[in-house]
Amino acid sequence: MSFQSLEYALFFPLCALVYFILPKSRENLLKNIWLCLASYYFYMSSNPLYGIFLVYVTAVTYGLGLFFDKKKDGSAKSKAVIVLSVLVTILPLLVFKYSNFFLRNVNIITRRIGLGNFAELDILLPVGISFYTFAALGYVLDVRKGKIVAEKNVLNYALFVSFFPAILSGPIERAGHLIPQFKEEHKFDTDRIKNGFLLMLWGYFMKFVLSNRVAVFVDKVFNENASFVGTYSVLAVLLYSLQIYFDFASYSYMALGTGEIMGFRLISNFERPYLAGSIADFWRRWHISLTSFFRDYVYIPLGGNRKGRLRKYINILIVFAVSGLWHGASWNFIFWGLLNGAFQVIGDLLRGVRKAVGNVIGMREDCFSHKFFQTVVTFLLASFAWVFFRADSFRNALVMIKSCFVYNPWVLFDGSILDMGLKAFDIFIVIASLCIVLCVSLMNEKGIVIREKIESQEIWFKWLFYIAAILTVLVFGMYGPSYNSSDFIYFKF
Amino acid sequence: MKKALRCIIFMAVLLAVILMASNILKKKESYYYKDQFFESDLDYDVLFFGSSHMHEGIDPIYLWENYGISSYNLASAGESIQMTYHVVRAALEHTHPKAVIIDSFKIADEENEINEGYAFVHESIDSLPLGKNKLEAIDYASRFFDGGKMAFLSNMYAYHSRFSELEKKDFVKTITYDKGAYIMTEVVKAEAPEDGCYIEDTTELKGGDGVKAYKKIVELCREKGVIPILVNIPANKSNYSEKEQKKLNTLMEYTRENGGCTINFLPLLSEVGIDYDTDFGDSSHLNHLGAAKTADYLAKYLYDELGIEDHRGDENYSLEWDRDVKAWNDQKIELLKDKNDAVSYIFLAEGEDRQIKVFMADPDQTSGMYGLDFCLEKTGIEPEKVEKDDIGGFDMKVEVRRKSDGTWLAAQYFYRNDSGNFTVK
Repeated sequence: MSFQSLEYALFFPLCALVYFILPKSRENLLKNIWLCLASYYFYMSSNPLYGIFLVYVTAVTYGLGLFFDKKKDGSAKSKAVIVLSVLVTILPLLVFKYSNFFLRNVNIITRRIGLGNFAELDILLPVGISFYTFAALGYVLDVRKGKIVAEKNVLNYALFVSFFPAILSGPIERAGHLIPQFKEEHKFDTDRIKNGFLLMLWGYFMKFVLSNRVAVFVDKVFNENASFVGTYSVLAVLLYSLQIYFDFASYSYMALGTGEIMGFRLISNFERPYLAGSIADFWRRWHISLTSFFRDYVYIPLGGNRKGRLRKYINILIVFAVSGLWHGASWNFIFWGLLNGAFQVIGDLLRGVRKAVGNVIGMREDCFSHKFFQTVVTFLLASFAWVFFRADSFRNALVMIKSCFVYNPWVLFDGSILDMGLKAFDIFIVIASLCIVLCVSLMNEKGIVIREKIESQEIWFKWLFYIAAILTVLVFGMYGPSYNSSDFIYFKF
Repeated sequence: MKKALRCIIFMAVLLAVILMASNILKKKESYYYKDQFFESDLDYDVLFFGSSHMHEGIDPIYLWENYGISSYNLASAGESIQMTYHVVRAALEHTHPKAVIIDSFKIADEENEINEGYAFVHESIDSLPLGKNKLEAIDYASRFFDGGKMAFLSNMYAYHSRFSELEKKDFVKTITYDKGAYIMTEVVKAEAPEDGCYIEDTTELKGGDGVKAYKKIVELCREKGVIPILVNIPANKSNYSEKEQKKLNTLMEYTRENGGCTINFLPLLSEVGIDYDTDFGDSSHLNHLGAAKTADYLAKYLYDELGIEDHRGDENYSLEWDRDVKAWNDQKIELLKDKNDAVSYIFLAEGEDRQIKVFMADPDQTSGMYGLDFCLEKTGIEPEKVEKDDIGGFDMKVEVRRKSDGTWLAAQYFYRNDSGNFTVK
């Protein structure tokens, strides 16, 4: 079940209604049992067997949490114990996500030395496994470090790992942030529900109106790269950057809204990433829960920036290579990660040069045009890297980049662009929606919360706004049987 | 309390707006043909059901004008017999005809599925009144398409993507007076079945969903005291394979055994006078000429076998029928703008109190277009020669006026294309 399914439109209101109706009990026992059952139902509705992995990860990490909590004296601080704990936790992830990648690479070697092929495993990656495995792993590492105490209540812990708003595509929650909220009392609050609903609506707008519409063009160009080159490729590359943002951010907003309706505050996963002025800044704003996970549990333990410049650069590259591998078990994902790491390393290395050149030409770093230039360059660099993320293989990514250099700007003007599956009206909707997203982002960047602004208006205006927003998603959204609905891109991670 | 009340009012307003928007967005063609039937209380002698062969092959207006038979065509393109069952059920809940005439074309036996597109199912069932019958139809159909039941229950869900193709008819309710039929006026040569291909053999049916649905129709008719008549509307050669004929013969035998009647048009093609050079609107569906010949035979059959009477002059029928026939004649003028070739334009323009004039830059060119000579001969129109300049550089102009007072009704200009056809573009 996904947030965009009709089942969810029935499941969530029912789930929230029962949650609020259930009577108060000690430590919210009844409400948490209900949420845990609902979360398992939500997760297992697409395949009941997925429940096995969820139970495994929950049981193992619950036990490890108790184990590390008991060994606060330091007797369990050896690296072998930690590595073993991590491996046991991520075992299903390793098997289901990386075994075939490993076998493919082993086969390259065995074929070279004439040993033939190992057959790849016929397995399907359980949805969301990367997300809840990392959330649970973060819990174990936090307990081991003594940042938090182990959760003794198995129900609360099981709910933390399986919490349905975050289980399929994050945010990767921290136990110290979410588990205490299971112990709070969440009353039925119409203002909070309205806020949560608006967040969800914003997510649906991004998914149905923008992401799914842009995907029609992007998919056509990427899938038929030999036929559509030059301007088509450039547009597809730029639009894919937008598509993946709208797709993933939409899911996060739906998750945040779902949580907020029931009174839970989830980690915000995106802070307007395409307004970033550098790739490092971009990563502080993109998939924040994952970036901070890698910062806290990989980058800092490796030494971070405390062991000299060279080691810092190596650490950045390691973190981004692992991040690439987390996103997908293939070399183009690893390359995508390394490319993002390299952009940051190069950016850091050239900082002095840039400053010197800036001084010579009298560059003003505080003006709009400078910031605009930085934002555009960052967007272009991120877009370039996304090609390796989107393409089916490393080779196809290179073909796509090469095809960007074919000269055919006239396709923008001779109507050819309208043969790509989008009508003129669709293009108008994309442009108008992008303007809306840009305006909202710029206002958010200045600290203006649109929801508060709307809330301060007269009732007729508020109602008009809400109805227009709902109709916009319902009418201009691409969903339903006439549209071959695409799942959220981040599900497959 | 105040907040709860405000919330309820908001939800009511929101629902009303969504319903209004859904009504505008719904595909009117899905309601176009059957709406008038379910909105009228007129008594019908016979009702027609089935696929495009029936939808385009029987014209109730012709049956009324020439035989005084009150009928309605509830068939629709691509309709599977499983959906036909639900349309028959809805129709028999609404009215009580003497007979229902079922098209044999889509009674698939082997496949337990709907093998036509999603839009066809919508055309079949969108107009049916919401109730147990429609919900059962949706339940069955939704097994074969994405989107589940919602795809057939919610117009917003099914049709929201139509926002970019909205036109006047989406905002203003248009009543059509065609009595459910879509009669083509094009002339296309179709492939005739081979002489002597008719066989009388039967076969063992596998009892798939299609056959089960047909048997349910026969059973329903028996319950309601209505005579089911299974017919195979004249079609092209590909519809008369040995396998199809055996299946049809078996179903016809079943129908007769269960109190129904059958008309197999294959051995009657010569008697009916179907001409495969002139009586088809495309390669497999009858045009108005073929439909008229089929209706002539059928009307006599209904008179003789079922004792159906000529209702012309009977006020219970004629008040509404005469009004609708007149309205349909007027409405045909509006439909002329959708006709792209000279033959179908002239044939559609033809009617009572009509005067059609054809102006041509070179009247000798008529033989270049398939069906045009025949069309002009049939309608008795003599093309007038004019200079190209007089018709704005075009090759042909067709002008339609009211015969009684000469009022201009419509006109269309045609180019002669490379294949010799006179078309709008």
